[in-house]
Amino acid sequence: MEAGTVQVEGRAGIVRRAAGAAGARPGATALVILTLLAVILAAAYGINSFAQTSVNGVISGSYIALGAIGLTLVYGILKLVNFAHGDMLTFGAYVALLFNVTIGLPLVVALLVAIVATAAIGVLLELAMWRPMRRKGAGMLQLLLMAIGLAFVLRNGIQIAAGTQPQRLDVNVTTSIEFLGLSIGRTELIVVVVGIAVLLGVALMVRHSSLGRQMRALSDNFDLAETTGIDTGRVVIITWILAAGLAGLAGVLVVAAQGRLSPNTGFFLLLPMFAAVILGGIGNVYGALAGGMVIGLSQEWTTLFWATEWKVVVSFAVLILVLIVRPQGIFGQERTL
Amino acid sequence: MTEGSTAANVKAPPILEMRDVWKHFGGIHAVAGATFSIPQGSITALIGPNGAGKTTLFNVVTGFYRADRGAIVYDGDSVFGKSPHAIARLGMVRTFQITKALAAMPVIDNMMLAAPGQPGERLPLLIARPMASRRREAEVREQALELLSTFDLDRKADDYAGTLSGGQRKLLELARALMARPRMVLLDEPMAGINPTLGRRLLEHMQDLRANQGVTFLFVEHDMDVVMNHSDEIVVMAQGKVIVQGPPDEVRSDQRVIDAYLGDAVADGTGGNGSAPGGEAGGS
Amino acid sequence: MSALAEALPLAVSFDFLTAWDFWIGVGVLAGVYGIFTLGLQLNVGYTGIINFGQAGFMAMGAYSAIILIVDLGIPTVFALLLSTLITMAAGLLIGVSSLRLRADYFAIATIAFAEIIRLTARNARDLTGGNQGTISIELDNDRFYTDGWFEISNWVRDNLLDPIGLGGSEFGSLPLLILVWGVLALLVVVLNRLIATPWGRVLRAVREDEDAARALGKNAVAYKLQSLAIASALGATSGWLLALSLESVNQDVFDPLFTFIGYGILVLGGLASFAGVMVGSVILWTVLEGMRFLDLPLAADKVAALRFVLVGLILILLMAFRPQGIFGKREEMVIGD
Repeated sequence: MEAGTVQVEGRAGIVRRAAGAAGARPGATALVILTLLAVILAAAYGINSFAQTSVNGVISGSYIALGAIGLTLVYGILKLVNFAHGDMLTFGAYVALLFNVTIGLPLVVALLVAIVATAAIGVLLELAMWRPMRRKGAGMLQLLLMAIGLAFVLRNGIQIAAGTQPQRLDVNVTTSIEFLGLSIGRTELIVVVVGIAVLLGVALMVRHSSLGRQMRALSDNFDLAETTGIDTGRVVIITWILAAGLAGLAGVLVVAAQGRLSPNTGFFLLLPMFAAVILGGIGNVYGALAGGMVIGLSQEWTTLFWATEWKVVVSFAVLILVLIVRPQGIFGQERTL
Repeated sequence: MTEGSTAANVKAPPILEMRDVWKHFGGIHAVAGATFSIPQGSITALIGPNGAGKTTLFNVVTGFYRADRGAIVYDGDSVFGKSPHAIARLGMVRTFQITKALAAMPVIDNMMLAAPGQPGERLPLLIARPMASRRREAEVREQALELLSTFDLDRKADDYAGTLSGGQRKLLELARALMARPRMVLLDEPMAGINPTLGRRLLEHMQDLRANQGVTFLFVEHDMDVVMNHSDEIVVMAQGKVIVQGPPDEVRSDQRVIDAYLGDAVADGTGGNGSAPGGEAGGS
Repeated sequence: MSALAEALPLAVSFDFLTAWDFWIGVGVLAGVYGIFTLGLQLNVGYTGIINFGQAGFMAMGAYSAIILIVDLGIPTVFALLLSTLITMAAGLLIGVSSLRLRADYFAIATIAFAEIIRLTARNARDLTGGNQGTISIELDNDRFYTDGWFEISNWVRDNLLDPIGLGGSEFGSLPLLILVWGVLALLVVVLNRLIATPWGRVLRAVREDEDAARALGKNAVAYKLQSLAIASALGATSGWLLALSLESVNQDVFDPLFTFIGYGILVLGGLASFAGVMVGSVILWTVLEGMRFLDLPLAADKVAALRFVLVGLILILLMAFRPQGIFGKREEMVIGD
């Protein structure tokens, strides 16, 4: 196997070997670490508090994971670091707001419209921006800066259209359900159920369908996939429909769970989503799911001992840690290029 | 045109030795226990069918990959696990299969970059000893222009390297490698994609350098004509191992080598056209 | 002085004393962000590393300078030097942990670090004044600006500017403008000379192809580290200059959004051109701030959003149609992977 030239740096002796063992079973290692943390926290702060924050963690984890799927798919297949992804969540949420609050349709309908609208935007951008740039042979920095520019345009465009005041969807945020001494809002519960159901559905689809196989082929080697007769243009469009559609869904779920929406809502989730993507391994849908849950949980767990403002810092710290220790994430392959 | 092994100094210790070196990538052993030694001042060819592990071996020797295990001894000292730049500093310089002429820099900058011992490259020295840096810079520039002229590239000195033709870039890469005052040069497919005249010039340069400065050359090559007629020593790899090492005459008729290539050719469904050493289009 | 605080696009009031005052303020901003972007230019245009954390370095420079001077009473010049060194140390730390990552991972890691810095500044109330409190520097007390800067500023005004008729109150910020642009011009000269040295040559080689540089005996990571350290020093400098120009330093000023404004300046002026940074900064800030004078039928906060839409469009259009910017050299554009 003649491979390209790359520098693979190692670490010293024993540490390397231990790291190697842990690295060989990354999923197991991650689970062990997580369980250990859980046990420590539960012991230190009491089962009840711990469980409550864990519930909250699963809630936020489910919409972070949903957003992360779109991000990881686009990153893995198109090698595009889509800084505008968070704003697609925002976009979906505002479309839902428009149809639910302003026009007065039931939330489910508004949700469907939001998903379709966001998916449409995703496809539009692919055809108008990303595809022509790829054809031109645009490099990573160019695409990166364009994505950032797009994020500016989207976020501030929404602000111009809808104003900066936080708004709310027409959902029930007060009813909560009690079980086992824990409480969870009814809406939040729905968010979790919908979120996880969709997550699993998408993961299964990518794993087992022929479309999913094609997507993975493109992710491994785009040019090679083209030569094997896969209609890459079509797969890319479907990827965007999926990614953007999920972003729209995630946006609505976020607002439903958090109870308020502002133009910055999606953007604030961008780094946690990136953390989830990198933690799970770029291009890996199960990884996005796992990563999202881990980020959601760890963020909520910090509220046990820190003020809530510090919550987000955790995802940044996890992000940096993962990049240093195992950049390919839990489920990614050590890439040679 | 067959060169004998006269220039290879068999009494001096080998300049490079590899013993039982292994390197794997996610389950595939690209290099599986390679052992060979390169005599000082020799021109050695590294050959083998596709997938034999030659480029991986190159990367391992020069530090771009870290071997899993084995011994890599350069000039008597182990270089196992050393970083590429440290190994280059020890006098082992390499070129790449796909030329890495730095296109966004002028040719002369490419050359001057390679010169060793430049105080101006280190910030503290640059600030503390500006005169010394400037002096060395002038020296290096002169040397670079001289070297460029032996490769007929001096007229292009101020052009961006990206404007050079493919063949010129290959020459530039070799010239640049030589600026580094190497003791050993590793060339990854130097003849690929250049016309025979240019190829011959390259070989002449190699012979000169070996004769006048005792530089050792190790090159990966598929062109059997070049390999058989211009190298003192041949190392044959197949499936990650070294199967034979010896002078061209021995290797040419070695059954193991023929098997390795033919095996590859049968698998390809080709007749091993020109790529099998003992065959029809082989050396003269 | 109040005009300068309002000159930031985050502020939305139009309250300024005179046109001169306002435009001098814009000039100061352009100069400050010019210095800020010089760091980005060194990183991106000349070393090939994508630093998205420059706003974090700016924050460190500003806050550490203020804390050293106001809280610890260290003389101005020493404090500024020290704050630059502290920030360089942070830059080295970030570099050592992240520079071996590939370009896009490194970019994400730098944002994460910058955000940690910013959120720490926001939440660590005791040290920096927290979210509500920002550090308020009063100009007519015996403090930082009065001792060192105020005196110099007055001297300049009385002895250099007054004689030529520029001593009036509407030119109050003129000494600051001179300082900022003096520093900027000096830095451009120094950096240009630096990049023409053998050191600069190695940097440019690393920019294009690290492996080639390594094969020639250059320690690529060490050079990237130096580049990042210098950029962080430049970020710090722009930080304490910004602090000088504002009445109070609010952590919102160090939002990553400003790093991307820096990138807007960078691509406008052109990659691999230090002088271009000056031009790009003047153009961008003139446009951004000049938009205040447009009589638009929009509420104030929407005009602010419109300005960012503009920044986004600039990024997108430039990257699509003229990636080398105004002064960039096409042949030196190697970041196109």
